[in-house]
Amino acid sequence: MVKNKKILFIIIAILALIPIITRTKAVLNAIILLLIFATLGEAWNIITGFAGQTSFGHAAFFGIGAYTSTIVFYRYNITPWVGLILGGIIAAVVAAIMSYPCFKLKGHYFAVATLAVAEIIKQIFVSWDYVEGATGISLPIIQRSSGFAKRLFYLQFNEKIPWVYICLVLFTAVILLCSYLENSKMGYYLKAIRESHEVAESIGINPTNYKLYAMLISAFISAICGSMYAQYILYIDPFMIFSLDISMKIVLLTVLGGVGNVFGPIIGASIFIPLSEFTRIKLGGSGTGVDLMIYGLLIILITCYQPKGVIGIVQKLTEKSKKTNVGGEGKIEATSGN
Amino acid sequence: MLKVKNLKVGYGNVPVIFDFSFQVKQGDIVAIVGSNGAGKSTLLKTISGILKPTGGEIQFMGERIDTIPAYKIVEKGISHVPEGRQVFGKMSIKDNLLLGAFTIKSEEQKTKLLKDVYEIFPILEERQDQKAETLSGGEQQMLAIARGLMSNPKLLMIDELSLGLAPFLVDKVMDTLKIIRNKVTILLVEQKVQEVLEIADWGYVVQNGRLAIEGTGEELLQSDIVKKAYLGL
Repeated sequence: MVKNKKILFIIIAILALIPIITRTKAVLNAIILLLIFATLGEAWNIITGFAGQTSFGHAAFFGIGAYTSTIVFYRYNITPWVGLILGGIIAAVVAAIMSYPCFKLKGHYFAVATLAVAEIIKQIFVSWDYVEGATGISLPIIQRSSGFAKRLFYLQFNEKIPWVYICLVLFTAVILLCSYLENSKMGYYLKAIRESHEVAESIGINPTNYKLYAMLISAFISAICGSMYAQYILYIDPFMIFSLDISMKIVLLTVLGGVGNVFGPIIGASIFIPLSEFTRIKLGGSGTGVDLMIYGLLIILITCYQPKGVIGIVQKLTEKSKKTNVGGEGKIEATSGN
Repeated sequence: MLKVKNLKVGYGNVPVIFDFSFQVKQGDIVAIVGSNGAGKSTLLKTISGILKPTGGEIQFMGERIDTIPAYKIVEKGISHVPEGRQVFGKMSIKDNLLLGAFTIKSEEQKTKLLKDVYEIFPILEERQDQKAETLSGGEQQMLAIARGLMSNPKLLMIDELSLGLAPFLVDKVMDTLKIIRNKVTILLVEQKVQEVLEIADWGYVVQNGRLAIEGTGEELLQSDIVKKAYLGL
C-alpha cells in the first residue's frame, strides 16, 4: 500500500510538472484529455474491474453530466459547479433505474444491455428540443477580460494550464477514492461478487445491493468528467457526447492499462490519448481511425499475451527482479470453478 | 431442524426434483447420495435460496425459508459450501475466511470464529497470507468448509466434498467432519456413496429427482438398491 502511494505521488508530480516544462498547446490538450479519460477509466473500473459487471454504456453517464451542467448554465445561468454535482446526482439516479432490470442479466448480456441503454439515452437527447436536439449546444462564452475568480466560478479559461490542474485535482481525488475502496470491506465484497456471484450470495452478501452502490459511485464520477469535458470543449451535441466511441475508449484504455487495478486507467490513458492526439495532428483528416487501428492491434496483443494489461507486464518484470524467497511450499493448482 | 416437504424444482420448464421430502435432525450428519444428474446439487441450491422451488415448502427451525432471498438465508444459520470448492483464488486465505463472516457484525466474534476455525484446520493458519489459489485441492476444500463455518451456522451444507480429490484426501477431509459435527449439523451431498454413508447418521438416496430409499448409513450400505447401483456388489 505504501509502495502504491509512492507510485501515485510520482505520477501526479510528473503530471503537475509538465505545464512548467512545456506550454505547447497540443501537449497540454493531450494531458487534459488524458486526465479526463483516466478518471473515467477509474470510474468504470469500480463497476467492471472490482465488481466484474462489464458496462459498455458509460457514455450515458458521461453525457448526462455534460448535458446537465451545460443546460443549467445555458438556460438558467447557474454556475457549472452546481450543474456538475446535479449532473452527478441525475446520472446516479439514471444508473439506479437502469441497473434494476440490467442486474438481472449476467456477463455478456449485462454488457449488451448497458450498450442499449446508452443508445436509448442518445436517441432521447437527439429528439429533445429543450436540450436543442441534434444541433447541440454552444456554451455562452463569458467576457474575455473577466478576472480569474469569475473564470473559475464559470469554469471557463482562456489558458489550458488551469484545466490541467483542475483535472489533476479531480483525478487525484478519484484515484484516492478508488484505492480506498479497493481495500475497504466493500472492495472485498465486490471482488467476491466478481469471482463468483453464487458464492458471494451463499456467504450472505446481497450482490444486487453492492453492485448497485458500485454503479452509483461510478455513474456519479463519470458525470463529473462529462461536465468537465463540456466546459473544456464548450460545445456538445448528442452524437459526440453519447457516442459509442466514448464508451469504447473508456473500456479499451482501462483494459490496455489493466482492469481491476487503480493504476490501469492512467497507464492506459497515457498510452492511448497521446497516441490518438498525435495521429490526429500528424495525419489530419485522413488519419482519423489510424489511432484506433494501432490501438486495436495493441488490445489484441495484450489480451493474447498479457490479459492483465500493461500492469501485468510491469508486475511480471518487478517479480522477476526480486524473486528471492517468494511463494510457499504449497502446490500450485488451478482454482476450480464451474 | 430442517424440514423439506413435497419439494418441486426445475430449470425453466425442465423439472429436476419431483415431490421430494426429507428432514435433518439437529446434531446429525445427514447424507443425500445419488448419481450424476439426480438433482442433489439442485436440492442444496434450493435450500440455500439460489434457486426458487416451483412447489412444496422448506422449513428451517420452524420458519418457512423458501420465499426469502439467498443472502438472508445465511443470516438464519444455513451455510452452503458450493460444489467445486470455489474459493476466491486471488485473495488470501484469511480474506477468504473473513468474507465468510460477512453476516457477523461484531469484530470480536469474527476474531473468535477465526480462531476456532484455525484450531480445526491448522494448515490454514500456517498459510493465512498465501493466496487461496496456491493451495492444493484438499486444502482448498478445507478452506471452503472453513469459510462456510465462519458465518457461525447451525446447519452446514456441503456439496460434493470429494469432487476432484484424491482418495486419501477425501478421507482426510471426512475426518475433519467428525470434528466439526460437535458444533454444527451437517448435510452432505455426495457421489462417493461408500465413504459418506459410513459417517452419516441418516441417509437418503435420490434417483431421477425422487426419493428412492432412506435409512441409517449402515442400513443403506446393506440395502440391495445401494449395493447394486452404487457399490457394484
